[in-house]
Amino acid sequence: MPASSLGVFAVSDRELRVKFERPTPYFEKLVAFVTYFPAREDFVNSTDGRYASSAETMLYNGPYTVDEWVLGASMKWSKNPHYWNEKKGFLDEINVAYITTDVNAKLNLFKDGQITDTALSASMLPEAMERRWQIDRLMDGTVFFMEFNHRDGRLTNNRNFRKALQLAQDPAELVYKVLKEAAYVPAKSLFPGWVRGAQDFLHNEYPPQSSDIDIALAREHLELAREELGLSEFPAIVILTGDSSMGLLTAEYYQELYKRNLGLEIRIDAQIFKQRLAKMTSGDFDIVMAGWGPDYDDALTFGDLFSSWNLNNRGRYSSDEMDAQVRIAQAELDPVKRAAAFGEIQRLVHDDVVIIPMYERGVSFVVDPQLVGFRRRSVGPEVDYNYVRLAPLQEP
Amino acid sequence: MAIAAFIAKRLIQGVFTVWFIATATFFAMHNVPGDPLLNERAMTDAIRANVEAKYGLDKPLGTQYAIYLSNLARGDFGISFTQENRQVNDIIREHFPVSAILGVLAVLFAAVGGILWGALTALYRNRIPDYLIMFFVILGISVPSFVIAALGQLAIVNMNGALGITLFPVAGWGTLAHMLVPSMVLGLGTMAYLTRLMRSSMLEIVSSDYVRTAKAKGMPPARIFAKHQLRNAILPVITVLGPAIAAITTGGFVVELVFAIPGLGRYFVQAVQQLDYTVIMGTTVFYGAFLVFMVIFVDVLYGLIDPRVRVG
Amino acid sequence: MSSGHIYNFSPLKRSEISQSQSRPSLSYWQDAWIRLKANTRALISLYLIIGLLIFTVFGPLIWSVDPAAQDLDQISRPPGQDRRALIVPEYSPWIDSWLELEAGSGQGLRLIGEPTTQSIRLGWDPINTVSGYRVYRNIYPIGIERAYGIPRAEFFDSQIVSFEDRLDLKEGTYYFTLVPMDSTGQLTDSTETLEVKVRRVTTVREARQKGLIGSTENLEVGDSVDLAFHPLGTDYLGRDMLARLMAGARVSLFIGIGAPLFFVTFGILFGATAGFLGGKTDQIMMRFADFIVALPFLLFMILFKIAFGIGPGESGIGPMLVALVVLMWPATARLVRGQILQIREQGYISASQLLGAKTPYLILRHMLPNTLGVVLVTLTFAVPSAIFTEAFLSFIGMGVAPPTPSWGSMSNEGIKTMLTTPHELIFPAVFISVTVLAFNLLGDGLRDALDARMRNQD
Repeated sequence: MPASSLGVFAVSDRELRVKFERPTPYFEKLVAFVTYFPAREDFVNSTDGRYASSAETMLYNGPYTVDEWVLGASMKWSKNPHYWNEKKGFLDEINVAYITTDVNAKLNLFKDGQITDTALSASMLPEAMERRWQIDRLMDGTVFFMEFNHRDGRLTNNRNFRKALQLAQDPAELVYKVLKEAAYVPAKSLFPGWVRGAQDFLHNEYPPQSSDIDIALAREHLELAREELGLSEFPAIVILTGDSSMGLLTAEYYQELYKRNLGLEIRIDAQIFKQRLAKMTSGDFDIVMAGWGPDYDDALTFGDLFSSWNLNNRGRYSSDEMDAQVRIAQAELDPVKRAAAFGEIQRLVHDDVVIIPMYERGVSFVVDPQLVGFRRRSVGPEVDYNYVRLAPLQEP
Repeated sequence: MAIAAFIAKRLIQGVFTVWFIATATFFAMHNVPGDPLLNERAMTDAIRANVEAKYGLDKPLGTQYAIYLSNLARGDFGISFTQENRQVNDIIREHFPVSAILGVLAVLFAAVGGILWGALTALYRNRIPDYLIMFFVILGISVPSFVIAALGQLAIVNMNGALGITLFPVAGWGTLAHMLVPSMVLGLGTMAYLTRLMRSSMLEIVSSDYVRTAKAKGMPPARIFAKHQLRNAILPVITVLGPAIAAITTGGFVVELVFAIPGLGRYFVQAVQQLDYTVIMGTTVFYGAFLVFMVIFVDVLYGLIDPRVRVG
Repeated sequence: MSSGHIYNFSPLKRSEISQSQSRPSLSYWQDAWIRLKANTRALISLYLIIGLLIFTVFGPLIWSVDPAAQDLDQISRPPGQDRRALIVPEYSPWIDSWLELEAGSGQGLRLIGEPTTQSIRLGWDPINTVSGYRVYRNIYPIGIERAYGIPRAEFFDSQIVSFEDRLDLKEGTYYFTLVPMDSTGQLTDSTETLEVKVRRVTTVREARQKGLIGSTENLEVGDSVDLAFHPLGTDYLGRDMLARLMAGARVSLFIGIGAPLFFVTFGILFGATAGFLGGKTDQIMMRFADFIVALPFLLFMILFKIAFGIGPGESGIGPMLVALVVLMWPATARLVRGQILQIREQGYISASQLLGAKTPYLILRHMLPNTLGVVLVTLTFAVPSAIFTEAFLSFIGMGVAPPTPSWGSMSNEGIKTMLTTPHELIFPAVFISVTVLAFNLLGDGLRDALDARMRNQD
C-alpha cells in the first residue's frame, strides 16, 4: 500500500494528523499498542536490516536505557538522564541477570535472593505460604475458551451439538479442582471481567448469561443433533491443543468428562506451536483450545473476534447479526449504545455457542519486600518498573 | 605423512557428509506441515506477501535450495524467522561457545569419572565397591535429566541458605562457579554409561593372557594397570567420546533451561517448534560439521593409542 | 629293586582305554548356556523380568480399574490417606441472601453455613470508609509479618460483603483474612482473620456414579462413606496410579525393549560389516552413520508420523518404533566397528583363518561374542533412553495419545509436582529403574556366560 493513501500526515516536526475512514472511538487506546509506535526512518535504515536485534540497534525514549543485551541471557538497564517525566523511573540501574522460561529455576533464584520477583504456579503456593512471602495476583487479561469449527461438514457446525457440549460441563470444576491455579477465574463470557462498559464494568451493566450444568438437558440436545444429522452414532471428534501443560490438562479433563456425561469419544491432537496454527488456519480440527489476550484497553479487542471478516476467527463462524453488532461497536460514538452492542455480542456468543469460555488467566506472584511500586499489568507489557523504588531494609 | 593424508581425505569426506546433511534437512524441513510465517495474529495477504519476499519464500523450492547453498558456501546462514532481524551467524557465534564449554566440561567430568569408577568396579568385582557404584549407575540412568537438573538446583539453594553465603550461583553463566554444577548434572548420564563401558572392557582385559604374563613376570600392579589395562580398555570409551561431545553439546538444552545458561541448545529446540527454517538449517549444518570433525579427531586418536588398529 | 621295603605300588593293568572323558565335550554355546543358568545375576534378572511380564499381562485382570477414570475429589493423593467423607446435598450456586448475612451482622468476618470441600462461604460487615476488600487464604496462621497467603478475591465496592471459595479445598484448617483497601487502593492493616476447619464431603449422586455404594443401598445426607480406594494413590487428574502403571507398562516395555533390540541388532550387523571389510566400504558406511546422527531428530519424527498416516489424536506406536530404530543405530554401529577393528588383529583370528575358517564363521563364532561386552552395555542404556524419548515424543503428540499412559510420560508429569506430591514421580521412576536393573543384570550375566576366557574357571 503506498504511504500516501494511508491517511497519516506529518503536519510539522512535532505534530501528526490522522484521518479516519470511519469514527474510531477507541483510537486513543490503540496507539498504546506496540504496532502503532512510530520509528525513525533514518535510524531504521542505518541498521541495515538489523533493527532492534541488539542494544545498539534500537531507538526509544523511555525512562531507562538498555546498556547491555546478551540475547536470551541477560540485560542491563540504567536511568535515562534525558527522560521528560520526573514522575517515572527512580532506579539508577536495573540488572536483568537471568532470562529463562523455567519457573522452577526462577523460584530457586528468588529463594536465593538473586531476583526480585517471580510468578508462582499452583504447586509452589504451599511453600510460598510456609516461607511467609507476600503473594499478590494479577489477572493478565486473557480469556481461554474452546473454539468450535463452524465450517460445513463438521459435527460442530450443528448448534444442538454445541449446546449439548455447553450444558454438560461447568468451567468451575475445571478451574477449582483440576487446574487449581489460585489466580484463574472461571469465565462466563467472551469478555473478561475487567473490561469496561459505558460507566461500570461490562459484566455489571450486562451480566453474562447463566451457564449452569444440566446433563439431562444436554443429552436432549445431543439427541436432537443426532436426529438432525441422521447419524446412528457419533464419530470421534478431535480437540486440537498446543503442547503447554495447561492445554493438555484441560483437554484430558474434557475428554473424560464428555465421555462420562455424553458418551462421546474425543481424541486429543497435541501439536507444537506452528503446526497447531497451521491446522487452525486450514480448519483441520473440531474443537481447539484457544485463548485471546487484549491488544488494547477496550472491549472491542474481544468483541470483533467473531466477525466474519476477522482473520483470527479461525472457526469461520459467520452470522449477519454478529457482523451488524460488531460494526456498531466499531463506529458508534455514544458509549451507552456501544456498550449495548457489546452486551448483544456477549449474548450471541452464548446463545449460539460460538465458543465455550473456560477461564480467565491470572498469575500469582511474589515480590521482594524491598521493591516498592512494582506493578504487573493486564494490557501491554506485563511487568512495569516505571514506578519502582527501593525501600530501606526493615529492622528485623 | 600417512596421518596428514588420512586427515585430508577424511576432511574431504566430511564436506560431502555435511552437504548431504544440509540437503536432507532442507527438504525434510520444507515438507513438514506448518507454516513458519503463521502467528497468533493473522496477517492480511498484503503483509504476508511482503514477509515472504523478505525471506525468499516466494521462490520455487529448487531455487531456494540453490540460493541457500550458495550463501552457505560464503558462510552466510541467513536471518532468523522468529527473532526479528537477527543473523543466524550471530546467534551461533554468540551462543555456541557457551554450549561448547558446558559440553566439554561435562564430557571431561563424565570421562574422568567414568574411567575411574569403571576401573574400580572391574578391579573390585563382586565386592562392595562394585555393588555401590553399580547402584548409582542404575539410578543415574533411570532418572530423567530434568529431575537431576531440578534437584541439583534445589540442592544449591538449600546449601546457600543453610550456609548463609552463596557457595554456588543458582543459575546464570560467566564464572567457573557458574559452570561447575550444570556441567556435572549434564555429564552424569554419560558418566554412568562410560562407567559401564569401562567396566566391561576392563573385565575382559583383567583376565587376559598378557596381563597374566606381566603379573607372572613380576610387574607391579599399578604399572600393569597404567601401561596395559588402561590403554586397551579405554578404546571403546574413546570411540564413544567423539559423538558424546557432540550429543552433549546439542542435548544440553534441559540443563541450559534450568540453569538459565545462554547456550545454543535452547535456541535449536525453540527453532524446531517455531519452524524457524534458517535457524534449524544453520544449527543443523553447524552441528553436523562439528560432529564430523569430532569423529575424525577420535579416529585419529584411536589409531594413535592402539597401533595395531589400521584405520582407513 | 626291592631291598626289604614295602611300597604300595602295584602294576597297572593294561587296558584298551588309555583316556576317558570325565564329562562330555561342550561347544562354546552349550558351555555358555550352562554358565548362564548358574549365574546368580542372570537368575535375579529373570525373576524380575517375569515379574514385570505378569504385572503387565495379568495385572489389569486382577485390578480392573479404568486407567482413564478421573476421581476429581481425590486429585494427587498419596497412598494411604484417610478417605472418609460426609454426604451433603448437591452443590447449588450461592445467591447470597440478605437474611443470611443480616443474621450474623456485628460479628465481623464469619462463616455462612458449614465449611466443606464443596464450598466455603464467608460474610462480613461492610465498612463504609473503604474503597473495597481483599480476601486472602492461608494454610498457616498469620503472624506479625502479615503474610496473608493467597489472594482469593478482590472487590472494589465497600458494599460487597460476601465471598464463596471453591478453589482446591482440602480437609484441614484454613485461615481467611479480610483486608480492607483504602481510598487509594492500598491495603490497610485493620484486618480480620478467621480460622476455618474444612470437612471432606461428597454427594449421593457422586457416590453412586463412582460405585462407592451399591445401587440398592440408600444413602442419606448426614451419612458417611469411604471415597474410592487407590492403593498407590492418584495422579494430577485423580486417576488411579496402579491402573495407569499397568497400562503404561505395555507401551513402555514394548518400546523400551523392542526398539533397543531392533536397533542394536541392526547396529551390530552394520558395524561388524564395516569393521570387517574395512577400506572404502568402511568409510562410506561410517560416513552414512555420521549423516544419520547429525539429522534433527524431531523434524524427522514429524515426517515419519505423516508418512505412516497416523491421524490426529491417535497413538502412533509403530512410527515411533521405526523412528527410534532408524535414528539410534549409528552409536551401536560405531562401537561395534571399533571393537571389530581391534579384534581383527588378534592372533586367534589369523590362526582360525589359517585353519580354513570361512568369513561368516569368523564373524559369528569369534568376533561377535567378543564384542558382546560393549554391545550389552549399549543395550542396557538403550532401554531407559528409549523410554524417555518415547515420553518426550508423546508429550508433543508424536507418540501415544492421551489418555493412554506410559511410564515415561507419567514421570514427565510427576516432575512438575516433585516437591509437593513426590509419589507421582517415584512410582513410575521405580518401575523404570527395575526394568533397567533387570536388563543390566541380564547383560552382566550374559557377558559372564559368554566370555570365553572364563570358560574353564569353575
